[in-house]
Amino acid sequence: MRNKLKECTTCIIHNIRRNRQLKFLSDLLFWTPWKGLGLKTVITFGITVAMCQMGFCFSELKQIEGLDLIGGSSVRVEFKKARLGTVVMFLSSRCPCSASHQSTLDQLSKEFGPRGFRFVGIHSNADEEVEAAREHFKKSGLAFPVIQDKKSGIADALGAFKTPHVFVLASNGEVLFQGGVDNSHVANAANKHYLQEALAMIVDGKKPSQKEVRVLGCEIRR
Amino acid sequence: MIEFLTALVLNGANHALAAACCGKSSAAPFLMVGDDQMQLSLGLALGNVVAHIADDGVPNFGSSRNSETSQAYKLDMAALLSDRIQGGFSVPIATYAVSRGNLQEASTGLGDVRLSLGYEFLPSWSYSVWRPQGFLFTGLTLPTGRSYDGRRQVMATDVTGTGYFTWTVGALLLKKWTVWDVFLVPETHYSFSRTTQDLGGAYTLSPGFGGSIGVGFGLSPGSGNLRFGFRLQPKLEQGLEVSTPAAAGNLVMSAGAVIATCDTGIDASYMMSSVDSVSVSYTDQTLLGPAMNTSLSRSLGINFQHRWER
Repeated sequence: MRNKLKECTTCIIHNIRRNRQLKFLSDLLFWTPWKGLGLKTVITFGITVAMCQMGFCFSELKQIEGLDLIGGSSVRVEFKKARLGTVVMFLSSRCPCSASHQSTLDQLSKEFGPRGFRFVGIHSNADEEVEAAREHFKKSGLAFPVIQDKKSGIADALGAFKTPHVFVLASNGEVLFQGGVDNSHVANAANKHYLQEALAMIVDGKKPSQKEVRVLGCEIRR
Repeated sequence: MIEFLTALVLNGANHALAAACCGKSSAAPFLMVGDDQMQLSLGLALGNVVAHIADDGVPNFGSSRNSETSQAYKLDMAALLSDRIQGGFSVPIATYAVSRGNLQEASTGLGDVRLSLGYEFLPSWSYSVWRPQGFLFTGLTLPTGRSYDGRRQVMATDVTGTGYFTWTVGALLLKKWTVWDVFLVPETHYSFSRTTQDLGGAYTLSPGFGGSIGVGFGLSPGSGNLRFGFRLQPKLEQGLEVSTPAAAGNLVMSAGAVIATCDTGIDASYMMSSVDSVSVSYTDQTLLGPAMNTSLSRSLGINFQHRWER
């Protein structure tokens, strides 16, 4: 709990410096006369807990590690080792929407993997049996590992909401893009391919024009 | 009676948020809250007026030989206009039957059609323990039903509408966790004045402002396809003001008392598939107050909904 609060506080301060509205709030909070009353500590603690609960501040992950359901061994994915970025995809073994997009994600991993991206799947649903999930992902023949997310820790750290939910993370852990793979529940009915467009823009040296898009699918059971 | 009909056609709405894959069902039927591109709802509500209440707040339950019942069918349609903007319409058809001793009368007619626009101002694009999903909506109710002063039946059973253009603005906030969900729907509306005339001459009717706050919660056992819900909706309407037309000086002839009711409702919803759901609801206006200057009813509703996913 203490480490979590320390992480949250560091992250909040980092975000505050980059956000003008929050900087105003920060200046107000740290107004000199309040220091003597000890209110600064209380208010900071309260806001830290509240903002972390609000999902305003996600832990800045530097790596993901866990058991690969497909390969059967432990896998560590460090973001700094991917030249252009790491694509983290939250998947489900039971959600039809997730299953519908697996082949799309597999194709994208084969197209953009050689260009400098690292692809990794995450299985976070607490109500899905690990063995059933392992069987499902092995049968899928995906070209990337699918890590079992213990107690949905990775999902909580990134704020993953549904399956499929994709995040493109820079080498420093910054979220370059997050949201749905495309604009449809069924992959072959989509006419906007958000993830593909984001990856193509990053390859061209640009930041994705849409940093956040709607995510369609089944809610992740925590 | 108008209040009863309005309550009947609007309170067939209940709130279904069964936790099925790839979608949510909302029986705020003019508003899509799931990730769908279109939604069609068909509802039937059966109502029974059990009491009339004057502005002293004392209910009069009347004689057992008298009855006022109704059936209201409602078609609601909503469709995406863009990623976060949606439009819709609602068409009610109502049958109202009155029995007083040996006299009986019944009529069926089109109610007031409603057009609506909604905007998702708080989208759920990432996980949050507390941040709700939020919609703003606005609607215009058209006086397509027969108003009270346009009635032709002796016991006014052919009155199916208010006779006013009404503009509504409101918000829907909802939050769903694994098995629980809560929602809040504040809204306010304004009914525009209109001038009518009878043998006594011309006069202007001004209903004015009204509003309500709907609040409720639901439980989906095991996060399955079944949901049980409870809701409260206190409502307040400004009293009807009758005045001479503007050309005659806008003199107020009478100012009606405030109309107040409180709907208490329970509902059960079931998602038959990711795109189809059915819900049953019961609404009672006699349980909680305050209630003033209106009729109190109990109604049972059933609603079928089909959605087209994005």
